[in-house]
Amino acid sequence: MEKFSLCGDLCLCALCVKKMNHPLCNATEHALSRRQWLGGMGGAAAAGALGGLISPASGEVLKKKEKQVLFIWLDGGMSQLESWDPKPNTQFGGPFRSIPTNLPGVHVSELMPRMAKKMDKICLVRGICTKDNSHSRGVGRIQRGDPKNRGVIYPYIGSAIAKLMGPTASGLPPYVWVKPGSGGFKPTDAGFLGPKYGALAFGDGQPPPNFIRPKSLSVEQDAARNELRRALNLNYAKPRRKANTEANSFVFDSADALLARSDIFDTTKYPRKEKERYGEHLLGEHMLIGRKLLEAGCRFVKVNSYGWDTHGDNFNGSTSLVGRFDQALAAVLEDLEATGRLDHTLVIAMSEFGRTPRINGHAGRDHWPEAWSIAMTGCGLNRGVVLGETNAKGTFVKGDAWDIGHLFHTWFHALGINSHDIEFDNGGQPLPIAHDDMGVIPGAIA
Amino acid sequence: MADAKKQLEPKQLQELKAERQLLCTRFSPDGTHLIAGGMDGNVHRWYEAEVVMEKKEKTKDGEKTVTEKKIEWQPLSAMNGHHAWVGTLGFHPKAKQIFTGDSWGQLRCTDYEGENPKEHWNIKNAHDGWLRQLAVNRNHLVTVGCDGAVRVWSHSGKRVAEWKGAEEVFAVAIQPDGKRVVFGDVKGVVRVWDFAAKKIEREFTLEGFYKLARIQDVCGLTRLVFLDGGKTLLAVGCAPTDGGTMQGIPTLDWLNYATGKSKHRYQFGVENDAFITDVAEHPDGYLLCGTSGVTGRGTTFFVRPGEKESFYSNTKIANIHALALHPDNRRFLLTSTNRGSNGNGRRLDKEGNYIGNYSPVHVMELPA
Repeated sequence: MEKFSLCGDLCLCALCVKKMNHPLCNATEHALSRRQWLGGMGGAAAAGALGGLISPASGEVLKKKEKQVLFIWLDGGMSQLESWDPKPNTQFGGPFRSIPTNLPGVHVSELMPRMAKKMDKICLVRGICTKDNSHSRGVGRIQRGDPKNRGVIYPYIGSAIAKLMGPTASGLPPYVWVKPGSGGFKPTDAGFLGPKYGALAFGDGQPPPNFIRPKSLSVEQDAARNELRRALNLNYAKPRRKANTEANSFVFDSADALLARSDIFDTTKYPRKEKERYGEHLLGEHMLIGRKLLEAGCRFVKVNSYGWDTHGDNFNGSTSLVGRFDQALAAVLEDLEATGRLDHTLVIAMSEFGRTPRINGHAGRDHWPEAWSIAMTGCGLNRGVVLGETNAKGTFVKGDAWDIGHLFHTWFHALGINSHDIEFDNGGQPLPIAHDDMGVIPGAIA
Repeated sequence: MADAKKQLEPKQLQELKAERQLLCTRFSPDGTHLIAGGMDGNVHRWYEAEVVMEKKEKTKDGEKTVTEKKIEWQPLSAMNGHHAWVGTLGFHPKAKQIFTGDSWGQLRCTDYEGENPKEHWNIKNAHDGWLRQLAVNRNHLVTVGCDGAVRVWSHSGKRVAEWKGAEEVFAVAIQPDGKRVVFGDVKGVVRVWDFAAKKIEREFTLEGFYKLARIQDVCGLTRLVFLDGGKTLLAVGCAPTDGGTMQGIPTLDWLNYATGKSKHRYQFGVENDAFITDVAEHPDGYLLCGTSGVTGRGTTFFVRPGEKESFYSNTKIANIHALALHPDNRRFLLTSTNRGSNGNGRRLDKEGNYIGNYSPVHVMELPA
């Protein structure tokens, strides 16, 4: 049985890098406190830049066809009935029409005209049935794969992939998260794996404040300052828990790796046509940044959209929500395919649950884990398939239903990780990487 | 104060039940029929009937049977022929016909009386997708849709004029002299269109009727209504504060129609109250309003133009989708959704079927 440990998988060897000595930089506005090390400055690791099309490191990633993941998270719960699994002209079908797709016999909501032309690229699972209908538990439960309770907190899928696959040859942080709102380092995603495997979040698609070296600070001054930090950090780390100090170092080392790619975050320099194609809205912009992070070589990129919890005014809301998701998803798939990246990038688009067939009094839909859909494509998956189905009214799954554990097995297998044989090693405690009673969704793996 | 409120308290005369949820609901111009568009793609109908009731009264000789006449709304068969949601309807100004529009873009004209009403015409693709609202006057029928189009039709279904813009159009009204059409889009932009001259004469933006919440366009505008013979344009809806579980403050804005400037703005309640979904103007000069909010909130309130407070309100009826005044100006209706309509759980009936919601229609009467 293969086991993974916390050793050098993620080590970017920055601690060993010799850099020229230099007096301490006194620029107070750039001073780094130890508190910052332990807090949000962790997020600093991510600023990068896509100078030109593909960096040497990225080129290496492409050459090696290293497997990557784009995980699109629609927080709050997208309605399956207004997207992937429409039931027009039925009791709970809502006001919208369905439209045919380029996959014969398969229809999606009229709110997804762009994806309707790409369904031959998609592995759509319509038979999802999960267990939790609350956000507070549901988000974690879904992103951790809802394994059997063994008294430990499991990692989110991004942290699990960071652990199991490590960074690509680019050396960039393996788990990054483009999201609205605050950014920083999010160690809690990692669960028992330890904070090093947490997410590096780019709040509002931007690196944390003061991350990019200002022009007033020379390269030499910056190097000297980093040297001092490393020395202090080593001293600080000696009596402390390795997992935490590793995470601290990791953040700064990742920052080094990303520094050369800071142009990723300067969306003002993105070509106008590209921005229009993805949509000039938050999700479009973040999806575009996400694609560039994949191109730069990040192993697992999560792109997050909030505001999908449409208990009220679901149908008016879905018009813009689903429409903008459709635009951004279609654009990123088009680009991943055009560059050949789709063959080695697993793309997943999902929420923590679907929405109730029943339409409430405020024209909303509530939480519904009983029968919903997830779309995925790319690396290792069959394309142009629809797996599972719901009944005529869309209320429950008809036939085989799949839980998030099945999806975790499927994703791991798509990435070449045998989820039945490989286990996490939690300080000697072997732990399955996906629910031990579940397996791959039949028909999903190519 | 409590006594004053009691004196204003409307009385419920009857509660009609439709098995499915209803959207727009109106009395016919002659007051004999009550018509509602449903989420089931049907047009539901009731007619006013005089019901003779018998009851026994005690007399000195024993008992006698007395008869009592009562007006009741009796159901007629629902009319099918639409798909998806029938969200808007209007009456022909001369014939006993209705125009109905649905969320798949179909526009129909049918009779509304009798057991088998005749369809006069239908246009399957009057709009590409959701036909949001229609307005009727003595010469024309105007429709607006999510396709950003505004179309003027003759009463026989012939297209007379068209304007097409980029944004989804939500509300429409015809100027009282019939010469111009006024419509408002998702972002609260109101345009005054001289459709004969094929010209947008002017436009103005309703303040606070739109919000971009993350990536969601939240439209606050539900209706546009002409008052004072056309001097005032009333914008109805809400000032949205958030998307997702949409929230906003129910809002009425009395605009000087000539300038587009607000003369008076009235906001009712709190963010959870969300939309004023429908209004009716009473000849005594006040407005009857119904709201629908989260979770299961609904208020009926009456307010006079220019006043800072409503003079009557109650929260007895949840999630009001439609409100209409009967031609007798005493009766009015409130179409709602059943209480307890929200919830994440799987509610099943005894046979294990998943339970949907339905719409009661409350026929109310204003105090004398």
